[in-house]
Amino acid sequence: MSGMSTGLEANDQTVVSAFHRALLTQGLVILLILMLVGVVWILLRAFQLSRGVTSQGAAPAASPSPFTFPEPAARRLLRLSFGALWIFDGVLQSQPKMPLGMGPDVIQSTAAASPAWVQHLDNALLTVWNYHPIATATAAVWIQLGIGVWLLAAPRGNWSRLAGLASVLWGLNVWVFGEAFGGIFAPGLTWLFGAPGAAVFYCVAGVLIALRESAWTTPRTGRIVLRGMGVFFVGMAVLQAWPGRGFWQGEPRAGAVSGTLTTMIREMSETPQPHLLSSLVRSFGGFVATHGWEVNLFAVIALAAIGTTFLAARPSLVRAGVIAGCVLCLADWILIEDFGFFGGIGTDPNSMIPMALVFVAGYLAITRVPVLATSEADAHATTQQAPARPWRERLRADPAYAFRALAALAALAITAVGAVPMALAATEPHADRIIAEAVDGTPNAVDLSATPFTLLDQHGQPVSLTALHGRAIALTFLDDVCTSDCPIIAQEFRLADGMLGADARRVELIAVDANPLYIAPDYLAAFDRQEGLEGVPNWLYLTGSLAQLKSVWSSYGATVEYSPGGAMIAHSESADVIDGDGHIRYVLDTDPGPGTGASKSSFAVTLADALESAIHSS
Amino acid sequence: MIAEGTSGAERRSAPRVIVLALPALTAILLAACGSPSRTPSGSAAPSIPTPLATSVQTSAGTWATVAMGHLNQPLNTFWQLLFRPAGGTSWSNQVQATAAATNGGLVLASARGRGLLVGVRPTNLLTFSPLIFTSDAGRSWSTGLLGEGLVAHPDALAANSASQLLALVSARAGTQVLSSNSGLSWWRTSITTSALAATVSGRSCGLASITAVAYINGTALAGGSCSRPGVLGIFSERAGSWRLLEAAPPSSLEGDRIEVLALQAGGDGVGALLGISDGSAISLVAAWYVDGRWSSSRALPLSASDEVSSFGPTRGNGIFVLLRASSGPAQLAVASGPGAGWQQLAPPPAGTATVAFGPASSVEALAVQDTVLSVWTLTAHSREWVHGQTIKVPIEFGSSE
Repeated sequence: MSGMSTGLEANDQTVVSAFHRALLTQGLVILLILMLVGVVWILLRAFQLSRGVTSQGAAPAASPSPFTFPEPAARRLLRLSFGALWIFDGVLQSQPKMPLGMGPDVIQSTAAASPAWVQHLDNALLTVWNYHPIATATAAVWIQLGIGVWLLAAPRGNWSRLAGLASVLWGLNVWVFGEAFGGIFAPGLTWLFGAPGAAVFYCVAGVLIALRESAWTTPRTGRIVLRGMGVFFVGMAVLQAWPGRGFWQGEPRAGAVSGTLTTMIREMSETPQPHLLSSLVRSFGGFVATHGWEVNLFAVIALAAIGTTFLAARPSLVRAGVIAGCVLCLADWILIEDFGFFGGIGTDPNSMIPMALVFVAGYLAITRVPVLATSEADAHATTQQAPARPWRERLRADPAYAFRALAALAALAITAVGAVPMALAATEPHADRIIAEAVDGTPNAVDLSATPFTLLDQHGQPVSLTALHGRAIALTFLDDVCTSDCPIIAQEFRLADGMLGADARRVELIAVDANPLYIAPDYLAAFDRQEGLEGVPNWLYLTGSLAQLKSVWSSYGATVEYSPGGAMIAHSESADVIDGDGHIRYVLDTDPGPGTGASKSSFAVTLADALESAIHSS
Repeated sequence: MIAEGTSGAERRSAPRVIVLALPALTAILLAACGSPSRTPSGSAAPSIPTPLATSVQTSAGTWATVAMGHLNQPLNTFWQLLFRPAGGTSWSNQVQATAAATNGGLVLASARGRGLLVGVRPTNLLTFSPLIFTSDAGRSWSTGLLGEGLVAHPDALAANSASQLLALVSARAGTQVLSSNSGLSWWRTSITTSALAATVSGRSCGLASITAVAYINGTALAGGSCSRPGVLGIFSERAGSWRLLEAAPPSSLEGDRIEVLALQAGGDGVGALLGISDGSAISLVAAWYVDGRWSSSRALPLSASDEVSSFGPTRGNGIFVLLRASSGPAQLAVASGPGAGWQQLAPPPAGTATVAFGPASSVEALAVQDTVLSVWTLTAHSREWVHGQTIKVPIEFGSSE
C-alpha cells in the first residue's frame, strides 16, 4: 500500500488545529441537540405530571412498565462496561494525531502483514481517511461516544437492543477496516498480542445486548458464550503451541534472532508512555528473552486449561476458569499489550479487557439468572414482557420509557453528527483542502498585472499571454528534466483541469520551462509524454531562448539556479492564477510536499477553486 | 428476582462442542496457513554487476564519474562528473553541467578521444535521459535527449563522433539499441534484444541480454550475454543487419558461458572485458579484437567475496579492473593490451571508487567518503599511493526526495 497516506507528520499543526476546530463545532452542535432534548424532556415531564404520572410511572390507569424483572446481571455488565469502553475509545479517537496518524500508523500498519486482498479491502477506508482526515477522525469520535452513551442511557427495551446492534455494526467496521480482521489472516497470529482483535468482542457483546431479554432467563445463553470462549481459548492454545512460529524462542544469545514474543514486547516498550510502564514492559521482555520457552509453555497450558473449564460450563469449574482468565488477561494487558492505548494513536485498550468482560458475562449468565417462576402465570410474567402498547401512549405515561427514548435519540444524534459528514466525505472523490493547506498554506489573494510575454509551446508554436485574455490561466514554472516535484505539480494541474469539468474550456494551464540548459521543445514534449499531458488540450508548456526565459522568470519572480553536487536545478515553486483581464488573482505555493494521492488531489482542489474564482471574477 | 445458581440440565453436549470447535479449528488452520513460508529466490540477476564508476580519456583530458553522498540511500546518492585536463594534475567537478539530478548515475562515452558524451540516467519520476556533449574540455556543452532511459551499464553509450551515436535504453519492449547519425536528439531503434535474439546469430548465441555498445571503425557493435557456452556475444551491424563477429573467440574460453561487461574502441580494434563462468567459478578476461582475430588475457579469478567496483580503459588499449572484497584491501588489476596478462598494482586506498590513468605513467585513485573525494597517486614502479588533492562536494541531501 505504498503511497497510501497523506505523507504529512501526524502532529501537523494545521491539521491538528482544524481537527480541534471541527470537534469544537460539532461539540457545540451536539450541545444544542442535548439542550433541545432537555427541553423536550422537561415539556414531556410537565405533561406527564399534569396527568398524574409519578417518576415510578404510577399512572392512574395501570403500571406502564413492561418489565417484570430487573435487567439480567450479565446483560447489564456488558451494556455498562462496553458503553464505558466505547466512550473511552471515542475519547482516544480525539487525540491530536488521529487525523493524520490513523491511516499510516494504525490502518496501514495493521494490514501490512495481511494478504493482498485484505490490504486491498482496507485501502477503501484508507483512501477515505487519508483524503478526508478531519471528517473521518471526528466521525470516529462522535460515533463511538454516541454508541457508548446510547448503551449507558438505554438500559431496557428496543432502544437498548438497537444500541447493541449499533455496537455490532460499528465494531464490525472497526474489525474489518481498522484491525484488518484482527490480523487473523496475517502470520504470527497469537492470543498474547490480542488475536482475534478487540473489535470482535465489541461485536459479540453487541450481539448479546441485542438479544431479547428473555434469552437471559435461562443459562443457555451463558453456556453458549462460555463454550464459544472455551473453543476459542483451546484453539489459541493449539496455535500458541504450533511449532515454527517463533513463540518457543526467546533470544538465545545477545544479537541472535529474537523470538516473536520478545520482539513484540520490545516494540511495545518503545511506545511513548510513562517511564514506570515502559520499564515494567522492558523488564518482562528481558524475562521472555531468557525464558522464552518456559513463558510459551505457561501460556499454552494456561490457555488450554481456562478453555477447558469454559467448555465444561459447570459453575464451579467456570468460576476457577474465570478467575484464572481474568488474571491472565490482566497480566497480558499490562505486560504484553502494554495497556494498548499509549503513544498518541492508541484507539482502544486492546482485546484483553473486552474479552474478559465477555467470559465474565457468560459466567454471570449461568450463575445469576432471573428466578424461574413456579406458577404458569408467574412464568409468563417473568419471561414475557407485558403486551406492547403504542409508543405514543408509553411516552405519555411512562417516564422511564420517555427518558430512555429521549436519551437514545440524543445518543443517535451524537452518532449522526459524526457519521453524516463522514458519509458525505466518502462520496467526495477529491481530497479535503486542508491537506494542501498543511503543505503550502492558503492561496494568497492579490491583484497584480500579469506581465505579457511570447514564448514557444511544446510543439514549437508561438504563444502570447495577451492572446489568451478572456481565459483564466494557471501559470507555473517546471524543470523539464526534474526528477521529483515538477512531474507531481504537472499531475496536480491535470487533476485540477479534470475537476473544472466544462469550465476547463475557459482555462489555460501554462508551465514555463525552468531549466536553463534543456530549453528545446523536444524536452517539453518528452516531459509531456512522460506525464501523459499530450492529450490535455489546454495544457501549454512554454520555452524560448535563454534570454526570453530569464525575462519571464524575472517578471514573475521565479528563481532558477544551477545546483552543485549533482542536484537538479533549483527553482521556486509557485503558481499564479490569472483572470481573463490579465490580473493575477491568486498566488499559490506549489511545493507538492509528500506528493501522495491525497496531497495531489487536495492541491488540485485548491487550484481548481482558485481558477473557478478567476473565471467568475472577470 | 436474581437467583444464584443454575437451572436446567448441565449435561455436556458433545456434538454442540464439535460444532463450536469447527469454526475455531478453521480459523487456526487459516492462521497456520498464513504463517511465514519460504519463497523461491529469484535468479535473474546478472552474474557480475556492472558498476557505473569509471574513467575515460579524451584529447582534452580525463573524465571520471563516481557516486558520492549517502550511498545506501538511492535518492541521496549523487554521481559526480570529474575532469582533469590533459597535462594537468588537479581535478575539478563538472557535474553542474548536467543541470539535472544525477541520482540514477552518469554514463560516459569518449567520441574517439575528441569529445565526451554524458548520459544522465533517469531516476525517481524522470523516465528519459538527457544527454550533454562537449568537445572543448567542458567549456561549452550541447544537449540532446533519449526518449527512453539509459540502462545501467557503463558502456550503454558509444560515440564515433558528435553525430554518430549508439545508446542502450530500457523501453517497454525491453532493452533496445538506438542509433543516431544526426546528433544528440534524433534517434531511431536499431535493434531490440528480442529481435537480436531471434536472428540466426542471436539464436546461435542464445542471447539473454545486451550489455554494451561500441564502434569499431565506424561500425556499430553490441555486446551481450550468451547462454550457449563458448559463444562470445559481440554483434556488428552492417546495412541494418546484425551478425556475430565472425572470428572465433579465444580457445581458452571454450565451454564457458561468456558475458560481455565492457566494450571499448581503441586504435583499429576493440577491447572487451568478459565475465566468464565455467559453472563453478567466475573470472574476468580481457580480450582484444584486432585485424579480425581475438586474443585474450589470462583469467582473473573472482572469489565469492569479490565485488567488481569499477572497470575502464587504461592508456592505450589496456583495461583496468578494481575489485573490492568484503574484507581486506581492494585490488587493482591491469591488462595492458593484446596478449598481456593481468598485472596487480599496489592495493588502492580505502574508498577508492575508480582509477584514472595519467598523467604520464602514474595512476590516480579517486577515493570517496560521503561528501569528500580524495585523489591518491601511484607513480610508476612505486608500491605506495600518495595523497594529493581533496575535493569537498557540497551535496544537497534531500533535494531529490
